[in-house]
Amino acid sequence: MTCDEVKRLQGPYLDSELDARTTLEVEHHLNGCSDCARVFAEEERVEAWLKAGLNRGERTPGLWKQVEGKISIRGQPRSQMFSSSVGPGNLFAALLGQLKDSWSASRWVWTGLTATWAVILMLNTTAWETDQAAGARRPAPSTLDLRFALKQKQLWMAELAAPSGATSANSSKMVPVGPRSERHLVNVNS
Amino acid sequence: MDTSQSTNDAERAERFLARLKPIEGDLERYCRRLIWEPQALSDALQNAVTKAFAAFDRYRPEASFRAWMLKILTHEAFALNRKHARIARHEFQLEPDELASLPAARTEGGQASSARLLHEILEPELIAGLKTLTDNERAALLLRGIGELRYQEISESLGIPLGSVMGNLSRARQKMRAFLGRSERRNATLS
Repeated sequence: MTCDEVKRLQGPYLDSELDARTTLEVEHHLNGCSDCARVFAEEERVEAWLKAGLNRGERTPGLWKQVEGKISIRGQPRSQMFSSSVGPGNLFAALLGQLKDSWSASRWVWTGLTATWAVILMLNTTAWETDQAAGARRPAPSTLDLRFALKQKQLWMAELAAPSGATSANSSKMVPVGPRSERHLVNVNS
Repeated sequence: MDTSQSTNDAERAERFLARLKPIEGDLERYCRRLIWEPQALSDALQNAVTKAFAAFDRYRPEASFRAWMLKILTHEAFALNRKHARIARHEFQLEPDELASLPAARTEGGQASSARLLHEILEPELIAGLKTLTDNERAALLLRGIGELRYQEISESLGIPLGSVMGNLSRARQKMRAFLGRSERRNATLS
């Protein structure tokens, strides 16, 4: 094995990635080549210091407490529900899961909410039934009232259909313009 | 039914945490070196752990949990780096002649050996050195240096061929030495 060949294998050799046979060949060369042995030794020290530098720093307990808190003891993590990786098909299941989780976590709150809604629904139903009953109790209009209203409607329709010039000629038959409250005083016998 | 499901979920969470806790320090150090935005460290770890837990059923027990987690964390960190629109490569440009003069930097004056240089590495310099690497170079170096993954595991984590892993590692180490050598020369000039 030549010096160039050995130097090409420097990284895998120091990372213990070579097979046994190649490793022995490299070591055989290093035993007989002081230049390569020096380069390899230097590289090994560099790697050791670099590794020490990279591995400085301790685990941050507060950070990991927060991270572990993301993992729900009930199974699926809460943040997964809204993640982009969840497809529409899984969204319904995720929503159901979330509801199930929250039901288990706070049953009393859910019970209170359900009771409140039940009361609101009951009050609404009662009010609607009262309104219906009041409508049913209202007396039907008399025949006279109905005839009066029908006649008045016919007069109004005639007034609207008549040309503007006929208004003065047939003024006795037309309903005068006036306040609505006074219109029932018009002579409707014609 | 509900009780048994609850028990299964709790057991699943316990199994996951039992595997996670021993490697939390390595994950944090790895992420801290890989992520550009220091404030994104917490997001990266939380997202990675959450996704890993969601996919824990697909994890094969015979595989390395450390390698599996590092793979997920790598993807998460890269995604956050892109999100923060930071320059992922060559934030500090290296001139070709600096790479070529690497041996001189290591033995300059017969006293400034790389071992001594690295012995005096300060954290900002280490981070600055890492920023001279491309995404894959940095990830390969960190997966090897912190994660202690095999080349094959690094290949799977990064989704690149084995030969590319070796190339990335070699270039990463070369650039780190060059950067630290340059840093040493600058410090010597200032002093």
